[in-house]
Amino acid sequence: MFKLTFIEIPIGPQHPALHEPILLRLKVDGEEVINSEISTGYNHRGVEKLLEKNTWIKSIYISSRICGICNAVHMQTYVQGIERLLGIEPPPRANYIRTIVMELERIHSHMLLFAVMAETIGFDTLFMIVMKDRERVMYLKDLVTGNRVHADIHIIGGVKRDIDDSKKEVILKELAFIEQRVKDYKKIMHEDYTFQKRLVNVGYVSRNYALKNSLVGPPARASGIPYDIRALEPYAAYSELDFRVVMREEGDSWSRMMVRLDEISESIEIIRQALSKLPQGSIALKTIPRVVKQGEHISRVEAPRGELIYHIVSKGGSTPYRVKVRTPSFFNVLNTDKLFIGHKLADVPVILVSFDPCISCMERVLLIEDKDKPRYLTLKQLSRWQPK
Amino acid sequence: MKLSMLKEALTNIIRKPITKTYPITKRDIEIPELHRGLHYVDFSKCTGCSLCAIDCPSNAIQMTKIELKLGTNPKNLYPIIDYEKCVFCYHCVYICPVKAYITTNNFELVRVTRNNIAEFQYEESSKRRDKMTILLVISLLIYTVSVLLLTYIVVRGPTVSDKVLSADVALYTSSVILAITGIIIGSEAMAICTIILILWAYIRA
Amino acid sequence: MEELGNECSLQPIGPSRYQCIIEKEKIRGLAHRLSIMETSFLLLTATDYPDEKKFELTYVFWNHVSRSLIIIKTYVSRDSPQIDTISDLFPGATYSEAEAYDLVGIDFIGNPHIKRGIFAPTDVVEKGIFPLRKDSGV
Repeated sequence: MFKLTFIEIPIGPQHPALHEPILLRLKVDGEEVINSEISTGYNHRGVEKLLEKNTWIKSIYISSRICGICNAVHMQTYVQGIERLLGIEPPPRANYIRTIVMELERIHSHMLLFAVMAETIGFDTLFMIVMKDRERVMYLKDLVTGNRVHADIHIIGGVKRDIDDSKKEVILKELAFIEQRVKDYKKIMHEDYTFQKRLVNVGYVSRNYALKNSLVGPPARASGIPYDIRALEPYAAYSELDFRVVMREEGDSWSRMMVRLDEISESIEIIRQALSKLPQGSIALKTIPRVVKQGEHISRVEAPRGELIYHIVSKGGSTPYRVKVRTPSFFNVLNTDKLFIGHKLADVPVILVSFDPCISCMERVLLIEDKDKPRYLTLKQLSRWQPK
Repeated sequence: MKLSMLKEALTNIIRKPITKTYPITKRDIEIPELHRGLHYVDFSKCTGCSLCAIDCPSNAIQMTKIELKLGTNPKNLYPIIDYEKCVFCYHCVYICPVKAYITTNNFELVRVTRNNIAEFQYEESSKRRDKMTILLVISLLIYTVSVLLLTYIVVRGPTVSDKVLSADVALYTSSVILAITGIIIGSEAMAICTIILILWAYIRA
Repeated sequence: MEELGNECSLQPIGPSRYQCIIEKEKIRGLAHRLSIMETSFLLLTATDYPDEKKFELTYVFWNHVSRSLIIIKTYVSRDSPQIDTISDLFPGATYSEAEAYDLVGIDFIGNPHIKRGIFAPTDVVEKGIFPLRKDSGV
């Protein structure tokens, strides 16, 4: 007779870097997962109500604070939608500066996830090394926008700050250093024994599954779907820049991480091109419009985690009528609950991290053995859990 | 077997820890000049248009009436920022039509009263500790010298009585100084050991 | 210009974006036709129009073959908000429909994951109100 062990992973709703909290219930038989289901608690939908009550300009800053890691792309999506409703175009120099800030964000978000994956499989030293390199990117963001995390640089009709030549030199010097380090990380991914054993052939996602379940971002691109909004519906300055959409065919966790590392190299190339092609001109309009005409628009942007969609409905007042936010983690995490079946328990954190949820939300694991004595473990303890 | 970690292990034995006690010691990492820090209004330029208060996303600016009677502000309304609500988005700085905001890159805004007191106490206690250390070192020197003298006299033989007496007196005096030093700096163990030593020497004499 | 059968004809509203407005009974036929072309489900928005006494549902799909966005709008009456689910044809839509139920109150017939309390906080659920309606008072 086998013992049924239930593991529940509750995620606290109070956390600053939160997308949505989920409760993941896994039914385990020894080491193998036989059933899994997801139930959710309260998430950030209070933001949608809040965006309806504030004026257009205030709601820009609120939308930037939905997520801590991808705040520039949230602002870009919202401001892009408002500009399309108004029928105005920002000046070209503003588009380039917006592109540079968004690519810097992509670099540091992917580095963060690589560090978290290294920690999940037990490689703590690599976690520290990658975080130390990430600090250089945060310094660059501070130089360009004024803050390490929240780049409040968008405004309706342009940007607020400019990039001059001394900043350009610092950016190029730091990027050259990061490029060399990323090559070293890729070498580790190819040659290290731990990475090969823990990540290859774990969490396979077929192309059909990705299509049906609307996976977006690097998980979709690692399964063979060329889905990148920067190439399909170019926004900001991407129509004038030359870059490659990174795609792989394998569909397992290893290829999802390799897609992200390749994207860091592509982002560095994009920033170099944008800095060399920066056009002259003004960076914002003279007056900021405060009232938007009636209409609705759907604006899409490629965030580091996938595709971000905002649906903005305006009735011609000074506040929006309805704003719907669909973050990429919403589909990537909620629709992949049946993927864990058939894997060992130690593979569960690896698969979950490779889909890039806001990992700092997943705090505690409730381990119930014999249905009597529940025990709480952290995700780090789960990745080092051994059955008795 | 490769000894690749040997060099690092040997260097790390003699190296001090890298941790810096940040709020107490000074920060040695530089931040960019245009970092969004503390900001406030230059009252001589403000015209009282209230655009900053209307647009603030967290409603952190209150327009208050301050009777300054400068020519630029007919309504005498000036913005006062509540820094606990401010999110430092700098929209007020951007939108002011006369550029009346002064910006700094000071982000260490939490050290208002509590950490100043801690710093003061730390400095005072380290001064006191330095004083006590000097006293301790002097006492230890006298003690060591007197012990050596006593040993020398014992080894060489009890020939001259006043030399023995002076060595004894030196021993007792230095032990008493050491005991008092121990009590003052709070090391009761040291004081007790020294007192026991004095009593044993007295009994044996 | 694409014709999806006789049910709706898509009007272009932008570069490679098409939109059409249909009645709510036809949504399953349309979804069935879309699921055999290579299409992914992207977004479901529920908007409350209390003056016109209806909820408006906007479905957004992306067609990988023709690389175009397909936007479908339907209307549900405010007194009896019910519509068929498309979550068996498009499993990606399951949680979007659950969210629309939890926050606006539209019932999707046939979706097994519908229940209150998935997204809305517990004190709102206890009072029985749907937060994103215009008259909810939240």
